[in-house]
Amino acid sequence: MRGRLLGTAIRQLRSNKLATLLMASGIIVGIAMLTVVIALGQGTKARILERVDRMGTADTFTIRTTPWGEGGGGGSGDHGGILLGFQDIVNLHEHVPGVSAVLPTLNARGTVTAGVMVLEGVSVQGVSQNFQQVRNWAVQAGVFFSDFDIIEGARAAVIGQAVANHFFAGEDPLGKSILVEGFQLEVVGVLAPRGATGSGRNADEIVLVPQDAFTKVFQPTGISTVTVQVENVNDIERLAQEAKAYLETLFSGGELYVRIPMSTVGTRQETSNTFTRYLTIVAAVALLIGGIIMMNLTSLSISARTREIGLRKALGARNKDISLQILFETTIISIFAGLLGVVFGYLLKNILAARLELQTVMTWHAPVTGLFFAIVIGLFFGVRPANRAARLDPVTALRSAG
Amino acid sequence: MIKLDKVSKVYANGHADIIALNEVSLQVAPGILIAIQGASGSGKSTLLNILGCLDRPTSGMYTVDDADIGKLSEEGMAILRNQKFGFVFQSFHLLPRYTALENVMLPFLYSLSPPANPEQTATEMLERVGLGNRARHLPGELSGGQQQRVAIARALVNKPTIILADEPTGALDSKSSQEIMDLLSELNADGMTVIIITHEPGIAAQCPYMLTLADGRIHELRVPDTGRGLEKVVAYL
Repeated sequence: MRGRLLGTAIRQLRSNKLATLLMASGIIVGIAMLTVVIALGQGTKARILERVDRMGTADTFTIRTTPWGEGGGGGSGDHGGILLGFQDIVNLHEHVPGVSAVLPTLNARGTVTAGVMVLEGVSVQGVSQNFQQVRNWAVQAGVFFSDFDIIEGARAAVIGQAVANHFFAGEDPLGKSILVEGFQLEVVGVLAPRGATGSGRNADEIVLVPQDAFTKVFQPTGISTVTVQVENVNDIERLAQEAKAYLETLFSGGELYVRIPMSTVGTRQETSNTFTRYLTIVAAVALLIGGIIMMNLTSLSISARTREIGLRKALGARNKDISLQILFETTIISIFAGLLGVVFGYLLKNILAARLELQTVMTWHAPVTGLFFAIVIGLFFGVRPANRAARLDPVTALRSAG
Repeated sequence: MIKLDKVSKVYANGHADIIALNEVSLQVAPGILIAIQGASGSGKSTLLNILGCLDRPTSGMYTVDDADIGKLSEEGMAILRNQKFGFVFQSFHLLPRYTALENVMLPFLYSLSPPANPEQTATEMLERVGLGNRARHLPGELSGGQQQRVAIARALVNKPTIILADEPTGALDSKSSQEIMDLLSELNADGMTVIIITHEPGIAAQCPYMLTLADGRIHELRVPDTGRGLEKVVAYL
């Protein structure tokens, strides 16, 4: 019986295509707006991820013994901070499940010279083998330190683009010597360029050395910065707190400081996104108006069909048969409107993206959400006309002019 | 068996209520062809609406085959209309965008147990009213008499026991009127109860039984001259 009523509803809508299109119009606009909003939201998310990826990777967080000061970027010097024991850090993943890799880093700022040229305040980092993986930062030319280099504390250096350009413009830096705080190192690799960090520092002004070599130069007493990679980025907030809590039990110096690049950038982006919020309100209002338009036009269509409804009742239609048919009609209209709205929204999004240079991303979220809201509206705004039609008195309806 | 026991219908109309039916008591046995006539406002339409379960009495008891209509829900009344009654209207009430066949099939939409092959059943009904060759026509392409025959086929398609015809010839010329009356008489001959509301004496005269209403009461009951079947319709004047 439901299938046959559905067929009747489809037939009714097809018999007056212009009226059906009018009924759908408001919802089409609303869903189109909603699609644009979602695409913009997804675009913002993608932009956040992109920025985080440039700073480090989205699936990492950093724990330090000293707080990040004003303008202090991820790689700023903390030479002299209170330090952690090396073994505790390396074994972090055993105590905090979900941690996939740990990169303890020794940080300092130092003077680097090559021949007669000098570069001051360069970030020097003592790193271990998994630097490339955890920091998502690969060597572009030459090689990274071998396991042997790390274990032996070899007098080797991997330098950033800016350092390479400063000292060795136009020549191959590989195999050349540099002095870090007077300590001679051989350049074995050059990192891929990364550009400015969030704090305005040039991330490429960096020299990496094996941890033991760093110790010989700067003589620190322990690790002060740990970058931790997690298996699932969704757990990052929880794991960061767990790792911090665990390390604090080992650390005598009091509180440790955590930074999650993903969250930091995310918050900054979302608060600035008033445009998207404005559009969301417009979309919601458009959907509401669209629903009301459909409801009123459906009521009008029912008034025009009063005699028909009276006849259907005389032939044995129950109240619920009538209301189900009307609900089928409004739901079909809104599904149709939802599909069309998603298509128009997609076109609108492309125009907006091109004209206003906004970043938008179209994923399955937009059509699925759009269709969901369309169906909800079809049902919600269909109930009133459906009930009105169902309650028509057959005697009066059969005699009406409609 | 249709049985009305002191059935009244009162419409509230401002200060003064309008009594459309005033304690009407009537019994109609199955297989009767009866005309109900009366002046405009005599209550004949109200009576038909109550007989067809389109409306409920204000007071009194109405039973169809021993089922008390007063105890039925809205849904129960709808099912009864679908199964027991076939309606024929003065203005045909065909859906203009549905073909003759589709119009005839309409009652199946609301049947709890439609036939296995609804299209075949509907086609048979169209053939029975002599319109087997008009199945694919829209009502607008048919004459008034043909449209009323489509409506009768629609009334018959669920195999009802009672046909309720409200001025079935009111919109037709005399030739078509006669064809419709012949068709209704045929159905009665096949054993169906046919109740016709009419204000045309010529139509009423063709029915063996005739009930006249005046001011919401039964004014007169005429039974066949033969004297047979007297007990089949009992009216309390």
